Amino acid sequence: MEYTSNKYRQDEILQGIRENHPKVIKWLYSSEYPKIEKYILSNKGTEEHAKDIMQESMIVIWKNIKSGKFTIQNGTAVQGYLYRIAKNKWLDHLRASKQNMIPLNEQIGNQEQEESDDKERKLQVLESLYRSLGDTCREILKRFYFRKQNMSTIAAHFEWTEATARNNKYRCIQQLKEKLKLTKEI
Amino acid sequence: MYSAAKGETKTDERNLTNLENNHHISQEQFERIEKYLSGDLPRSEADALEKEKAHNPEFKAQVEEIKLILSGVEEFEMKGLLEEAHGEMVSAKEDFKQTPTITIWKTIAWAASLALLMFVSITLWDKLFTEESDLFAQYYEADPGLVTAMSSETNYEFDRGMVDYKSGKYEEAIVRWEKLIRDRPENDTLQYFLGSAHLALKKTETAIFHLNEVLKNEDSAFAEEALWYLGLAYLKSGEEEEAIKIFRRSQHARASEIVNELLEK
Repeated sequence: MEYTSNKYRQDEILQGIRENHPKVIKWLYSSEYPKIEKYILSNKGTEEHAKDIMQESMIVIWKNIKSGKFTIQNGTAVQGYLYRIAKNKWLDHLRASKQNMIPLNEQIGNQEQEESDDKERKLQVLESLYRSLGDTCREILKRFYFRKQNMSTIAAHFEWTEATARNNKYRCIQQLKEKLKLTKEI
Repeated sequence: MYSAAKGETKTDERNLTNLENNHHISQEQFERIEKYLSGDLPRSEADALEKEKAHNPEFKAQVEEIKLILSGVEEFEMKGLLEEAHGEMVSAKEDFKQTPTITIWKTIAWAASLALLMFVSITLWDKLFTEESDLFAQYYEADPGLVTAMSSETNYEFDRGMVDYKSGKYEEAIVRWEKLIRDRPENDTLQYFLGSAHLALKKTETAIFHLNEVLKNEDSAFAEEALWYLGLAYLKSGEEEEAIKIFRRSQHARASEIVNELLEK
């Protein structure tokens, strides 16, 4: 295995996650997955479950690190935090399936929960619309909003001027907005 | 932009227009909101924007929508990265799993086949170049047989057998002579030529038998020849030790030569 557990310090990991650094994220993923998979497999789960839980948990810690909800001061390492999240998610899943999936509107809901669910639905729709964008648009948006590259780097990659890059970014967003508008009219 | 009184056509029209316009935002406006969301707007401009949000619900909606889109894009790409991470991890695991195992098996298979190859080639080499039959072929020349008139026994059947023998029909000669030897086992001529005929057919075991019978009689006229051919018979049958012993007793011109060759092996 190329990676060892001690490749990055805690602060390096957090910084890498904040910056959406692929190397750090991939390293964290491959080094922590086996433990989580083991837990799930020995708890009535499948490899498919393990993959889903792993990816969902990574998104959770990613969001929490970015928002500052999780910091180094929490005393626990990122890895431990990730494992805890994954474990809880799995236990929730087991509990939910035991209850035979009580329908959403019967569950004890609140304003916050409903808003969150609403947002989830919007995001799901948006995701499929996003994936229907052309490769170039997705590459532009990925570089701007995920990799957070600067204008000159992106322009250089596509061999555009910075003005053109900016303009194309705007157009791609417009495309996405138009698609979103169309779904609302359905 | 909102009118307190609902139902006013003018306001409604304006609202509709605004709603339509909600999706047509200028690049400038978009970039301004984008900067605001990423925290890159100067403080004063950011404050101004927040004021506008508070007073203009459509504007607020626009800002919210862009916020949703941009954070959505970031999250979708993160999901993509996680998929990629999983894929790479799986294939790395497979490579890791395969490599040492396959290497071990490959090594074993290779070593085994090499060992086999070496064994086979050594054996073959041995057979090809130092084969007893090769040595045998070098030294063996079938006894030419008797000129019929010289046979000590005037025996029609024996002569006919000899005719067969001399023309290479060893099986026929053997058939004739074996009929005779039943009644005359002590006849060294018969024994000798039966031995000779069998040896010509490479039937070494029987040849050895008959030639030994000849040698039971030390005074036999065929003793020397029998000794020589006995040695060759042992050689052909792979009994080199015996062959050497026999050849050492032999006075044959090439006896010592063949002994040396056998000893060199």
